[in-house]
Amino acid sequence: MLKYFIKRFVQMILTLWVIATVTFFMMKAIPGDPFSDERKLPAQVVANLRAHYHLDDPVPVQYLNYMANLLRFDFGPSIKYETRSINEMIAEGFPVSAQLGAQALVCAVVAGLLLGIVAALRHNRPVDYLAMVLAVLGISIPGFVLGPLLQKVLGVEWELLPVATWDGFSSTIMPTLALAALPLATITRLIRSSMVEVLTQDYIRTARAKGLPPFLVISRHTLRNAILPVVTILGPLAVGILTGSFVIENIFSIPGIGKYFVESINNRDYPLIMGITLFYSVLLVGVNFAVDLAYRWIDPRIGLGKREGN
Amino acid sequence: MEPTVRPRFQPAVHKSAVAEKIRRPQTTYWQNVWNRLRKNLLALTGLILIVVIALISFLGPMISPYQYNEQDLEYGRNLPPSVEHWFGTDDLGRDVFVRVCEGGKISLTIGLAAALIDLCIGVIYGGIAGYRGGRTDEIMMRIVDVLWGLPYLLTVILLMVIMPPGITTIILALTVTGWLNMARLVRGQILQLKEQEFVLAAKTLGAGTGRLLFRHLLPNTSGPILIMLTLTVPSAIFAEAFLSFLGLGVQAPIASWGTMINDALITVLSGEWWRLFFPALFLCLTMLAFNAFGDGLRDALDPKMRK
Repeated sequence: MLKYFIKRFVQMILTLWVIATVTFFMMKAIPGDPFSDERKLPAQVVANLRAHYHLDDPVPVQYLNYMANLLRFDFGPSIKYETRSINEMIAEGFPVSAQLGAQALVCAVVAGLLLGIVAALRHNRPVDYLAMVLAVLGISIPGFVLGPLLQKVLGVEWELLPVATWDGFSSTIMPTLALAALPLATITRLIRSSMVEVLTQDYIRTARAKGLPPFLVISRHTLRNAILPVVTILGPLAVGILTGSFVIENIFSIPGIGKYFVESINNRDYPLIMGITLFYSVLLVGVNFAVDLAYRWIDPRIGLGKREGN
Repeated sequence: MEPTVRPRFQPAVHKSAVAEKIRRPQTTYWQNVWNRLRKNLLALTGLILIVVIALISFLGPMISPYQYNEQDLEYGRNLPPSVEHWFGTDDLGRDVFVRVCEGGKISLTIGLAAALIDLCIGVIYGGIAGYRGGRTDEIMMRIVDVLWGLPYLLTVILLMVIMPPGITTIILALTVTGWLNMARLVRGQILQLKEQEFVLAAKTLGAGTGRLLFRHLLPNTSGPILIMLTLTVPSAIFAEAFLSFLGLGVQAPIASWGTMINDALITVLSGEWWRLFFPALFLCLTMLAFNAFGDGLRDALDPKMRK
């Protein structure tokens, strides 16, 4: 376990280093610098600006500075929003994005588990087919289609929920649903197929034969074994929710990081784009690391049976 | 002496040649797969839907009298669907039907191209890693592990930001990290297969590396590769729509489902539903069709998995 931990940790650090290095050199590869296409500035002002942002240092020095700043979690200044640093913007936007993401994740896991379990227990019956149709729809309908659809139906036509604000719980319902649809569908499919498989195992028959109430058979013997694959995809799910939040926050005008990110793309505010990408990459790589460790901890069979590297 | 009662039954003459005869026509692996796939209603619907969408996308612009970038700013703005404009027109008076077809062409092209490029790189990389094994495999797979950690869409967004916009750029950005899946799959399969007896037999008979890889190892992994290929297409189409939606994909006036949906977001309030509805419908149907077909293909290729 410790050996695996160290191995995975080194790998994580390498991945982060690749991301940071690639983003840095990408920034350098863009022709011109952020001030070259601004309105005509006197040469002296440009020189001062470049000096202020340390753009006149040789590239290796810039690289080392950049890396040193990253180690201190300092993502540097934004260029469009001159007075604010990227850290401030992240501090402002992240709580909102995190709330939305967490709501979506909880919603997806709870509903996905329930739907998947019901589908597996009623295997090949109407409820199962209904759940599967819902799951395929959830996988095929992107958030940026579901979002406007919800806005149109629930917001504009039926006037049940506010269309695009971020004020109170009722305004979070639609974006949460739009964001949760894809992970919900993924979890439903996964839990269904693994439940169906576990239900055919001998130990389930044993549990039933010894007269255990059905609820206990499901909760104690089936679900515990069937839930493992769901843990493995928590990492990819977090990625999906995060990238999904870019469009969802934009559609519903939610003041989270996703909205800043899309704005920064449209403004070509390179440091901000790189900063947010990096911030999210660190977050996601960290989540994947934690999930991997959790998986090994939950299921001791892994790592014993399977040789590392496969 | 003759028996008084003639026996009604007689022992069958044992002829080994007859007993060994196979009465039914033999079916190949792929015929089996097709037979199983044909019975899967959902997968078949998916396949038909893919063909129909492809036909509409590529033939639609020929039938329609309009061009995708043809504007009618005076009389043709925001017209509802009618006989003249089947899917209505947008705020610049452009025919939505032709634009949906145009978007379909782009989406399908990008989806297929990205999947095929992923296939080529992934098969070669994974094939070499799996076949050589040992130190080579170790190093090649460490590289994959590190790249694997990169969040897919974030990487693609980053690449799109610094590269000039266009279809080639999108395909390039999607494949930069997209081949990792395929490489991992192929490598795992080859690693497993190369220890089996038929490989040893082929080796003993003097098959070279190339023949071993392309005649024996890869054909035996074609099932999983095909599934992966089918499921890569919808994810590439989704990624293209996602990028176009963010304003990073194809640039105006070229139509893409993503850009059309993005442009039509304001119609949620103003009510020209057809501008949002048709591109969204086509996008969802395409994703649905590929996902359904891929799922069916998985069941057909691996009947053990099917419950």
